[in-house]
Amino acid sequence: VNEPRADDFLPMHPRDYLILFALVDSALHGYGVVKAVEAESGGTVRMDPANLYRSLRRLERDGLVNEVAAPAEEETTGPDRRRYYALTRAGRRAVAAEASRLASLARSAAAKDLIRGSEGL
Amino acid sequence: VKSRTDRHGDGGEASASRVYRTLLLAYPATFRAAYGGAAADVFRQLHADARARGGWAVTRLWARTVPAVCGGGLAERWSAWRGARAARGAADGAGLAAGGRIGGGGNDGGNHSGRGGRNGGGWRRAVAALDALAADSRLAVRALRRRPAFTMATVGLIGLGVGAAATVYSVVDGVLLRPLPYPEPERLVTFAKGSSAVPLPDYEDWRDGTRSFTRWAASWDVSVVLAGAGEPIRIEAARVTAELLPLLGAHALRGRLLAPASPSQTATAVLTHSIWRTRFGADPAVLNRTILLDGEPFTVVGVLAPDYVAPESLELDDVEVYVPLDVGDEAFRRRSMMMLSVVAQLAPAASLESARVELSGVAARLAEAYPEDWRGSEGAPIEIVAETLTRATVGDIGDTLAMFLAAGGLMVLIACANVASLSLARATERNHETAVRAALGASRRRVAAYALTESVVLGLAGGAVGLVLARAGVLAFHAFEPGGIPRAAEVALDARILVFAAALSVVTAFIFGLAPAVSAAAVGAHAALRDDDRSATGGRRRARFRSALVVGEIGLALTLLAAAGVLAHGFARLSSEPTGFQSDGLLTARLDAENALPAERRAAFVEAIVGHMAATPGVEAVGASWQLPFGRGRCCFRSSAWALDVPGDTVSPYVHPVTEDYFAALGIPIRAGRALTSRDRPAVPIPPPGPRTPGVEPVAPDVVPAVVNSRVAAELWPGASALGRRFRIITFRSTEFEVVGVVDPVRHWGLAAEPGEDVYVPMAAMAAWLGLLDVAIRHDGPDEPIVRAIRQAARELAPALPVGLIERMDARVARSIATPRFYATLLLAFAALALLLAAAGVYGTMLYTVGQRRREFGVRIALGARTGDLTRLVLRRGLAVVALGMAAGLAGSFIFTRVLASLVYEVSVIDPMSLALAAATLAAAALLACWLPARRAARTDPIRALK
Repeated sequence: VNEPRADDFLPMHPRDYLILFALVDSALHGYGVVKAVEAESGGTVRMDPANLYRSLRRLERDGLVNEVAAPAEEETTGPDRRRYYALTRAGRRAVAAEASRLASLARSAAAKDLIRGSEGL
Repeated sequence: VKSRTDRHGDGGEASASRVYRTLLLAYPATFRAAYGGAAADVFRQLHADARARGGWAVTRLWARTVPAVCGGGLAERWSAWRGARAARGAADGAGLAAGGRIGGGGNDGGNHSGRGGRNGGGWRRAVAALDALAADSRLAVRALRRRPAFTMATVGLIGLGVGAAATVYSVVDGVLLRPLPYPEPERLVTFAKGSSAVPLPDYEDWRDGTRSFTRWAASWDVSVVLAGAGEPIRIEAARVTAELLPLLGAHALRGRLLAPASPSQTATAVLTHSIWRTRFGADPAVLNRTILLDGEPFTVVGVLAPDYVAPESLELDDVEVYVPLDVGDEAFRRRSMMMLSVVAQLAPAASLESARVELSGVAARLAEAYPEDWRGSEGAPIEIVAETLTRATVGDIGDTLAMFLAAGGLMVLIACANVASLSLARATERNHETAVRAALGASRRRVAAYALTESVVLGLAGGAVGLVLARAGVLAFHAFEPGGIPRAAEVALDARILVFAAALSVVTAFIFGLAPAVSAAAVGAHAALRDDDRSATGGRRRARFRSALVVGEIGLALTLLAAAGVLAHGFARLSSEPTGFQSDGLLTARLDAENALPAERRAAFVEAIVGHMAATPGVEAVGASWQLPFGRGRCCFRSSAWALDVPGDTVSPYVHPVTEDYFAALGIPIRAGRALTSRDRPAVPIPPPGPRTPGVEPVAPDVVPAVVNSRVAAELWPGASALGRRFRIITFRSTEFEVVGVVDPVRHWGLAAEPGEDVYVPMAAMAAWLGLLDVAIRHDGPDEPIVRAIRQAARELAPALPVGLIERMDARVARSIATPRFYATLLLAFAALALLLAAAGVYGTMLYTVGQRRREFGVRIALGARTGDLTRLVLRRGLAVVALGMAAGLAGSFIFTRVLASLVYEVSVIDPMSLALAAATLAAAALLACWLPARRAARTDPIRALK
């Protein structure tokens, strides 16, 4: 299968990372992603919905996420239906690769005592 | 209460979602189709969250969203365009790699690989130019972000201007520009017999006696009680000819429209979409159901499509049910019964003028045949008045709207001047940066192009803000519009307004961007790099330009202020006009006795309810009339009256049937004689007009006591006492009236209307006529117990009787002047904004000048200048500019206030009071705006300034 390689997407734009990270636990609709990104970034990244869908569409084209069926209780027809997205296998690998890249950067920084309280790294 | 809050909440989210969808127009249609709904849904939830957080959260959300959507949309359009180009290029098999990026210094993420180009340099140059534009845009956005104060001020100013203009324009568009929503609206003509509605036989004569019109229709609006669909309610219905609805382009959503009248078809009804939804729960099975209108059964045969809008000018605007007009009914076939609204479609070959000529011939024939009905009081034939439906609907509102359009335009100009002034300051700051770019090889064109790009980015952002403000403005218009503006319901933001606002902001951006762009291009690199603010070359020309801008701003602001002052002054005069009665402490209640009670029970009911209310604690006096002053809806009638004992002119008074305590309740002073008493009731009531049995003259009272107002007395018995005199009213045929009292005139129709001629007759004398009842209760203390007492009394005395609006008389009076107050408030709001903008302009310019001359001031202080000297120095310069602006503004005011002549109540076109007040206000604001920078100049620390 012609799956994209995780390394192709590194380093990842912080927003893309936050979006993918938001989808790690479960599929989410747009509002869920916005909220998760906002929470994960400590309130510093607040995405505009239209821009979110631009990013999601790009990530979908890159094969990192795909649209999935909404949970059964949701109405699933019509133009205003909520769109749910989930990570693909490639997406999961890409977000993991980016996370370990960030972690290794953080470890080097900790080694030079740049960041405190980093014993866990 | 809870459900209301919820509904309100939903409304807020729905409109937020709509605004968001409007913003999404920045995105290409394909993107909107795929993601627009989902994105708007997400935004709706974010908006709800923000509202729940309260405070500034909603504002912050919008402030974040508007630029994000606009920027994202433009980027999306750009990449979609690039994608399409690349696809075409690949299809051509050309696949050329385009040349390098030019100038600008923009660094790009570089994901536009696979750039294609057609053979030949034209395309490549175009792509290169667009690339440069994209780079410039990115650079501009970044540069603007680094100067948040400048950016926010500019975007806010453009937003204000565009918002004000787009709001006004959407009102003008909805009311005037958009054609009426009917087929070929310009060919629809409506008619009146003189100034009255049209009797049915006359309508038929016009229809059959003319060739200028192809289709005719008539309608008669009646107020009925609808039963058979939930609780009985009072609604407006219309008896119409079958042609009416097709002529107005109406379609049936379900069932059919009315069929041409035939005996079998008279009991059919067509519902409007709104009543079908609200009263029938949008039930598809409503067809063939029977409803009761005033107790008569009608079969529902159709439901109108929701897009049907009833024309306001045919008095159909509140109509919810259409039923056929039974043209064969003898009751309608009298030439004295003026009831119909008539509309017809001009024939293709005819014009309104030719049709009017033909109609005047018809009127002349009618005057020959029916002199009693077709000749006015002086014997002149009555005219048939024909005008287009549009004209009849919109009337004279055009002048008013033109004024507001002009005011909106002035706002835009003021905002532009401010923005240009800001941009000039920015261009000066940027000299150095520009010089560096020029030195590194950017051509003059590229430098100018960059400056222009920055302006356009600002313009678009400002336009987006303007749209949000316009949206708020339109909502505010609907919330505050008092009902005096025709077609107000059709006012909305639509695609045309979007185009208008976008065009306006881009044009604005170009105009104010041009000067700085040119000046940026003109800067020689060498000069600018060497130059620092010590010598400020070229500064003088710019300073002069800035001063000119400020002069313009002040002039425009003064114009608006003066106009607002004239309107406000006119309104103040209007609202201080005496009504002729005491409106405070007076409650009014409209009771619908006409349909709820049979004629023979009405007199007793009136007496009972008036007596009951008079006995209520706290009530001082109770009076009733068919309609009290400042009322809405049907009223008393107008007739001709003449004195019996002296020959003289006739007068045309309004005849008011009133109860005995009417004058005491309203507080109308009695000049001579006495008020009516219960002894004045005639033994038999005056018979109403109607079909009579031939040869049998109905019993009528011989003499009825009456009260006249001083105008009637002065007209009929000039120079003599009217008391004891007798007169006759043409409508009452044989009955004579004897004057027992004379009262002061009352403004019955509004504060702007001069008091007319009024005759008051005992209501008991007209008990057999209509059952209209408007009750006035003068009381002491709170309204609440009285309101309860009215409702309870009505319930006990006549359970089937609907109690209409109960309101304070002062509210009625206030409502009558709500439209002029609305205009005055609106223009005052515009003027206040203009004042603020102009003051900001003066302040900014002065502050900037002071900053530029800091070293000079330092030197002066070091050489011994006192603070007072410096303050005076700066003030003198600022005030010279202000004075010039005021002179320009005075000239502008004289022109602009001319437009106001038609709108303002008894204020001369040039109103020195308002003008002086406006000038003083502006001078004070300008003085403050000059003084603050002057003080700062005086406080210059020479050591730091000269370092």
